[in-house]
Amino acid sequence: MTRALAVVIFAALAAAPALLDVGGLALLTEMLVLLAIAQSWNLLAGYGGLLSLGHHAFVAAGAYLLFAVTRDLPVSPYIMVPLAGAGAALLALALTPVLFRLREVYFAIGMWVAAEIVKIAVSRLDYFGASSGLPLYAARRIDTSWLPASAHWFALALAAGLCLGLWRLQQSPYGLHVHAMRDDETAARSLGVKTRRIKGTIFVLSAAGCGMAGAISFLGTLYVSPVAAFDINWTVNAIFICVIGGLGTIRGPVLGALLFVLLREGLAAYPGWSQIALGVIAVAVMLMAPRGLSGLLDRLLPNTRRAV
Amino acid sequence: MTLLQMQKLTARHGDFQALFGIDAHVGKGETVALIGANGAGKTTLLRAIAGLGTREAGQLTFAGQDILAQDPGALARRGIAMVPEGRRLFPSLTVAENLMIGGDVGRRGHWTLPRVLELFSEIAPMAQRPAGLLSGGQQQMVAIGRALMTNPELLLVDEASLGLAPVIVDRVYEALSGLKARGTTIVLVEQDIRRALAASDRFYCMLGGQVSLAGASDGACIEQVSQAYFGENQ
Amino acid sequence: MNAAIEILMNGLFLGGLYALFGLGLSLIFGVMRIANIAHGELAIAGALALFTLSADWPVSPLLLMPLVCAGAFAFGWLLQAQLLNRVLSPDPMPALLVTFGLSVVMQNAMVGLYGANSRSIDLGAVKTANLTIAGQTIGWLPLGIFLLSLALFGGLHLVLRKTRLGRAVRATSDDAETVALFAIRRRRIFAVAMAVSAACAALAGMLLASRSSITPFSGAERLLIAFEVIVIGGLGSIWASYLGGIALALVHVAGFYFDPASGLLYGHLLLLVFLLIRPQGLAGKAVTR
Repeated sequence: MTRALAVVIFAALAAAPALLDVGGLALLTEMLVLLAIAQSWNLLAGYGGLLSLGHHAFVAAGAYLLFAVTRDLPVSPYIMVPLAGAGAALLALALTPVLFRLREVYFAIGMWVAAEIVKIAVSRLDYFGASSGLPLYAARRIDTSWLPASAHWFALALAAGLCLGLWRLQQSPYGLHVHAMRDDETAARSLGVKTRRIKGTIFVLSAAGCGMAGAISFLGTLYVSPVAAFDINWTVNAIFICVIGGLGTIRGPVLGALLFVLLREGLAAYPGWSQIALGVIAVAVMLMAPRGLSGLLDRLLPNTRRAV
Repeated sequence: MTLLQMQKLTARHGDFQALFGIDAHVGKGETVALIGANGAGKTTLLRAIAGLGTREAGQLTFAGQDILAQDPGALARRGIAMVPEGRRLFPSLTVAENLMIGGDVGRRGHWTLPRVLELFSEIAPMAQRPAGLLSGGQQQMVAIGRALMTNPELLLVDEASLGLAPVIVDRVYEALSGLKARGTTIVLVEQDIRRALAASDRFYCMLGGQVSLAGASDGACIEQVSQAYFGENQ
Repeated sequence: MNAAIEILMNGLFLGGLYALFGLGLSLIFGVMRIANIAHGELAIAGALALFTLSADWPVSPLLLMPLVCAGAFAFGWLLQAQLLNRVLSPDPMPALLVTFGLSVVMQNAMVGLYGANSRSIDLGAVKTANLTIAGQTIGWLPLGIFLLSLALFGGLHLVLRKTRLGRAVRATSDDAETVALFAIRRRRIFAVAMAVSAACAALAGMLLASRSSITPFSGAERLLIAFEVIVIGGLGSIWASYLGGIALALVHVAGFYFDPASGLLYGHLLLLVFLLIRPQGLAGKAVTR
């Protein structure tokens, strides 16, 4: 039942470029990109128990990698999308020796500081176009009329892939280890669960997801700048989407992303208000319904499987 | 006169029910020992009396008044003090400050900072040192002294001998018997059955969250106690 | 040579202000093991509140500062008592997420109310007055802020060390469960800590806006500065924050002197260095593990 529904939704989303106008498609693509970033953040926070306030660094890393490499090498930007994820993963790997000394609050803010350092470094390096950024030089090599559609398909593939990956994780023995670690790290470690390695893996995968999302998002805009790529709102929005939808669930961020886009478009005439509304809702969720929309859905439809 | 009375008291330890209908009483001036194997519910019972953890149902009265719903702070002000398992001193506070925390509860009486330091003369020279730097035995004395500073009517002592050298344990129990001589009512949890019986007037042996045997400590039959301690099958 | 003295002097004075930003954060982290992500927004809100008040009342902003601090104190108390005390748990994530949500709400509300412009509090003659010591010109304002922060640290030190409330706060910081046995209500202590923290943040924000300028977006960098102050200083005593503040400010001032485009970069790098080679900070206990 759930599976059939998922297939139908996926098929409908895949057909979107043929059905929607330019604006509608862009909005849908953006929602999928947000969902992908939120699911990546969710993987780290909801499953790994690590709250990051600096995931925008990975979004930016993916985007910049795409723009810089396709400028210098005759590589198709499309091929660079997965490679951008790998690049962001490498950045995460490089950060682990420092950040994994930190816990809880300190990890959260330490990650933010790391993002700031990367941002300042990128905006000072001429290689990355310094503070003015880079255009997508490789746009000359591809048929740009297909760009919105292909960006959409990439975003769909990434978001769906992340949801599927999380689902597979929940089903797997490895997922049990992750779950045990989230519940009680000390106990899990004493049972032989390699918590540090699991957290490291989750962190790197989470960065990879953000990196690809960043590459896809800026592929569509044809231009990347430090201000846009390192915008902390990438992280802020991912957090709101996860918290409101339900941290540590798969459908939570899906519901959260839907609500996020609806709220933002609904309040488009009042700048700033959608952020305020989201913040208020997120705080209210933490206080009154910590399992978010997903938890509310469980209460309304007690028959659906809880795990999904 | 009965100071503390429990009837059909039940309580939980985290998610698990740990006490299943305890009936017990403690008379004024008595020393009562709670003995039993690990997990029998001794500490849960002691914590329940002090207001820690969740007490669920039954009766719990102190000096004739129902205290089932009262929080630890209110009970401290009424005269119930606890020496918790593992001492639980405030390690960054000095010894004197740890004792003063007890005094801050606001019950005036015999015990003052100088008198406590006189009772435990070993710790007097360390009064200005952080309590975290003391040895286990010294910390135990501070923990008892901190409870005394609240001038309690009822002193609850959890595992006073845990992890201490026998000489030190002797010293701690000597101090407790001195308190008894002053008329302080004491309930103590103790792993060492012989030590517990020697120090107390009466005992309750617990098994599986219930009282399996109760009686006078003097002349208690060790065989009987050990059966109550380990259960029928042993 | 002159440049070196200038850097040292400016770093020292700015360090007092940085320390004040760190103080509030280190207080609540020490007592509750949580951080307030909205710490920087509280500081900026304090400064903006002072703008509003001094626009209405024709008195020196200096006289209005205690009023704003009192308001921030009340706000911090309510924040803890009404919101954060409801999500207390060994897991710090819920509290962190609540303060995170609050920081976003506050920032956007401030942008909505005050616009995105940069503002500075005008203290009139105080701002430009200076004195000359040993050939060095020193502004009264930076010096005054430095001395004020020193006095506040001293005062807080005395309260924490010599009073019953201070004893209760430190005991709660050591063991928030055991204090219950001694009629200390941890929720109340937490509320006190958050209230003092918010008042410190508001004061630091107002002093910052007097020294230089702020925008409603300045909160984030203030939070990072406060965080760096307590990591570089180390936890354990409030003076560790003072040391951390001065160290960070020296690096910022020197960085700005030699590389004006660097922003907060060298401060961030200093943080990394400390995390790698001296996680316990300059003084005090390790905050990382």
